[in-house]
Amino acid sequence: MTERSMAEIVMVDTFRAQTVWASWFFGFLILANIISVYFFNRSGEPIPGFLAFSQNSVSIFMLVVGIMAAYGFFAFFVRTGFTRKATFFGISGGALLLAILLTVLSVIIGLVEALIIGKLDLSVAIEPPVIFGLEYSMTLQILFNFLQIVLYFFVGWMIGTGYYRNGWVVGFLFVVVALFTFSVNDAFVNSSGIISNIPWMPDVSFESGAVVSAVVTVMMIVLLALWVRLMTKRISIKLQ
Amino acid sequence: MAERINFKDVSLRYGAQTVLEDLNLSLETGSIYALIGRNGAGKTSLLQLLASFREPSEGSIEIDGQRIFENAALTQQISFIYQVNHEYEYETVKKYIQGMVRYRPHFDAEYAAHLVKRFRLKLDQPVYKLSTGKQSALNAVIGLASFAPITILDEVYLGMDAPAREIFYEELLASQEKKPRTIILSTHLVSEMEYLFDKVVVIDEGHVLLSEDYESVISRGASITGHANHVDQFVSGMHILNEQRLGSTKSVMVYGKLSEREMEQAQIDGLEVGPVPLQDLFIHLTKESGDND
Repeated sequence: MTERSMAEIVMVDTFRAQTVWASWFFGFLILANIISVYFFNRSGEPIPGFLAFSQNSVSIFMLVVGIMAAYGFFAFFVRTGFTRKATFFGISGGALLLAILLTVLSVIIGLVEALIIGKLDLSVAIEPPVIFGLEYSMTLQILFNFLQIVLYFFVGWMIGTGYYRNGWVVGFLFVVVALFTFSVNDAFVNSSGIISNIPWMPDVSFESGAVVSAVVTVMMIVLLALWVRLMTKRISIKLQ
Repeated sequence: MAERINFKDVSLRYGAQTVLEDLNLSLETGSIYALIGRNGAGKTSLLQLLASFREPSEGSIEIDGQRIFENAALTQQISFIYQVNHEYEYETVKKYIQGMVRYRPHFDAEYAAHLVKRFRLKLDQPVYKLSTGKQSALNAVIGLASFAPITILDEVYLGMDAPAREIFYEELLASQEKKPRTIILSTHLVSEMEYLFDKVVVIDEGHVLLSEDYESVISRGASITGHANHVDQFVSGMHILNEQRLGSTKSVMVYGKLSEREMEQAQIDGLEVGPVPLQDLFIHLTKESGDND
């Protein structure tokens, strides 16, 4: 088996396993959304579309998936004879596929939701997404949703690897790094209108445009991925 | 098949603790090795290095001159089976084995099915619900059916009852005859398993004490049985490992090879000379090593 085929197997198998988790998660999310539509319908307030509604929850889901990638998948595949390099790239590829799937699913559910609301005449409007001051910016919403959940995955993986490698005392420092990462991200993305996951962080916004924000998020993703790769390159695998 | 596994000046440290120190060991492939040592000797650490779970602090481990660590061509050739905690393994036995077919290039699914029947494992039972003994049996199935050119079995028999262990030993020999590979058995059940071994490696306090053919190792000692007075006279001045007496008959195990003259004398005295069980030699070798420190 070549290293490339190892990475492909890891990518497909992690994606498959995580999709099963995601299907349960989305089931609950849709239920929550239906309840919120009914609630808002009573008050007559416009509701955020599913894409905006799900963004924070999906990000947290990916954070958890990232943490589990460190403890579950990485150790499993190396124990089974896969190299650390192949496992890293496989898990990264699987995460990107999952992020695409979750984003596409959110868009589809959002469109179905809008259709149903229109057909059923529920007297409730879907609040159009306003990203960086631009109305009806569905494209930007999709892009930022995708980037956010990829970022959260790599933050989770960074935390998980930090704990796995260094134990819980030093591992806590990785949580501090994660909080810093989120605050930097929110500072750029906040001006988009996307609500921060950490409302108690200082409300700093750089009023940056879409392009700068996207570039910053991508850079953070790349840096996190490189750091995880460095940490896992020669990592010792525990027996349990 | 690879020709030789070499450990060159291998040291392993966990923080301030040195587990293996300047270890040199050469293993010929295609044999069944016993890896024996006292608790904390460094057996599992050595095996973890071979399986690339860890990198040595110093030195290198090579197969035919190529370093193993992060070598995709070699890591797939090594299967390290040990007592895994399956408490979060929610897949069924069937799915678990199917996964191994996908991950292990030499895995023999048909042979695995045969072993599952022999060990009486239920295919539709979730792995986490198996008893300790059945989980051990599943680990043994994976190890035997993987047919990895280097198969490491670290006390896989733990939790298995005696009949299951017999099945494991039978199938180990049968699979070795069918498709020879390098099998490394790390075990504390030395007396029960010694008939399986081609070669023996004894490790103590992070060093290799010996690495020889099984026959060479057991010829390092002798057991002398006969009339108590004759035995006492014969073994006088020898290094005695163990003594047992039943009435006027006595059996003594000594360390050291008997000369031809001694063998002739034993015959004259009507004494029976036989090999020493590996376990007794192992106890003696590791006790002596400890005393010297």
